[in-house]
Amino acid sequence: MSVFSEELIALDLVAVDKVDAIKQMAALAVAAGRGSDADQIAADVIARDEMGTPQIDGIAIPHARSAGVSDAAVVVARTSGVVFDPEEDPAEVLFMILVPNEAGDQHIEILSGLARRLMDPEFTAGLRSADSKSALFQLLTSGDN
Amino acid sequence: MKFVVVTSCATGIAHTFMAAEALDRAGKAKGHEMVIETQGAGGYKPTPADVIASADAIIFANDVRIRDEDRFDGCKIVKSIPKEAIKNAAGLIEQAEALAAN
Repeated sequence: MSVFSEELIALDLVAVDKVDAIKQMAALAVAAGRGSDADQIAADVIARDEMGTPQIDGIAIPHARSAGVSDAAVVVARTSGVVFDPEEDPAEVLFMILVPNEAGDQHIEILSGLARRLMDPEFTAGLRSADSKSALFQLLTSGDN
Repeated sequence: MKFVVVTSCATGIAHTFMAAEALDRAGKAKGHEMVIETQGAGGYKPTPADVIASADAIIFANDVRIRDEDRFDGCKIVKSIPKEAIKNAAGLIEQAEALAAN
């Protein structure tokens, strides 16, 4: 199963703050069948965020291993701006990487490939400009990961 | 110049690889030869001793302990954290250039 899916994409997520965004994205993962417990997933992502969430050029990558996750997933949301780190600009694109507790190496490889691609300016420009879920899904599943 | 980069972070899923990619890009942009060792959740491939010995400087970007750190004993090392590498990779490359030139 790909870690990506159109069901895991929100093109215009409206969130009051990062906790709200994380909760909505966890709910999306459960609705798409990637996990059983949205509250547990959100709690694990929020706990990891307290140690720091990576962010680059307006893209934040909240992530966690969680017992609430059954199948690894990447939830992608575009927002009008959510503050993860007060020292950084608000994040306009959120990538939430969710991994089951017993994740194998294969998932890690896929996810590390994604982390690398987020450093590619052409890829990140495409994330912002994709005009539909299917266009964004195509971009995510193209290329070298 | 030739630099060896070693990155590592708490969950080994995101920071490790983003920091590595940022330093790889910044180094190559300035014409350097870059050797990258990511110590992530999927394990790591140790950089061979002869490659370490031939490097002009080493760059660490880690917030958990580097595994087998004694491989780098005696090397010129720029020490940093992944967050800094992601934000300011070019600055770390400059530090490595300065250290190597000393």
